[in-house]
Amino acid sequence: MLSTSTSRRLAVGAAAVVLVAVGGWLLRPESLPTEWPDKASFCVQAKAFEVANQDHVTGEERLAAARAMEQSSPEALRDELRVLVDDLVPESEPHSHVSADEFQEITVKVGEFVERACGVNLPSIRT
Amino acid sequence: MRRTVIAVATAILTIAVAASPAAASHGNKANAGPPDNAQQDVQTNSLTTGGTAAYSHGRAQLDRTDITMSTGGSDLHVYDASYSSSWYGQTSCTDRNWLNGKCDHMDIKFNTRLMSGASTSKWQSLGCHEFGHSGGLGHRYRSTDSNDNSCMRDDIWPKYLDTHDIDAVNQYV
Repeated sequence: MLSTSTSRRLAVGAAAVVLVAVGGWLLRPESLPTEWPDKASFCVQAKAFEVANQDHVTGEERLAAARAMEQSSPEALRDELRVLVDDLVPESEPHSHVSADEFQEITVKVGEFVERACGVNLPSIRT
Repeated sequence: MRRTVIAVATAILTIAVAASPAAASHGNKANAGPPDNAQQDVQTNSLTTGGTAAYSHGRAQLDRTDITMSTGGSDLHVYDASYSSSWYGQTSCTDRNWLNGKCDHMDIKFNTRLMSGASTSKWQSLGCHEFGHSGGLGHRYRSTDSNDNSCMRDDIWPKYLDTHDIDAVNQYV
């Protein structure tokens, strides 16, 4: 039979283990899928932004490709794609704004995902 | 030699290297490689007398647009040297946003080999031309500059951005 103090120590230890586990889960890096149903469509559109295409793709083509990527992106990336689409929408049309820092963070996050998932080489993205 | 040489060299470099020179039409096409904001820092790197004339004049011309020029190293870096390439000047985007094509960092290079013996006026025209590229402008041609007054022309050496050029830059930024 365990003494009261030993039981208390075990309870505290168990609580600590649970706290560490929960904390770790909360702080884990966001995981994005490597496979999803519309991946092929997403990656085809992403090629519009490849380094070799940058000098040829028009603003309208960028917007169309970004919109198609938003539709075919993994659910976990949908909000970020919406921000990117809004950056390309003409000023005259309604769209949301984020700060320059937020925009930069999102373009890097989505860009790195595109390079890893699709094997597309994007300018200024290193993976 | 004419500035068409620059256009040909630019096309070759576009294929050859990832960080391709900015060569944009005035039609607001994405290949304009416009700057990512309207506050552009510019830094010079031991320029020759000619290069300094090109830099000073080019900077002043871009300052006529909605872009505000300042001295600093975060946006434009200007060099001149004897390059073996067949271009008089070159503007390259070295950090481009993959999504919108806007450029955060650019290098402007003046080729002292081809500009050897050139007049100050010609250096100034070159500076205006390359700084115009950094503002997102592409080349102008006889067909779209009938009064021959844009430094973005590919075959003559005017010294100034014309009103069409300035309007185009202001559209980008």
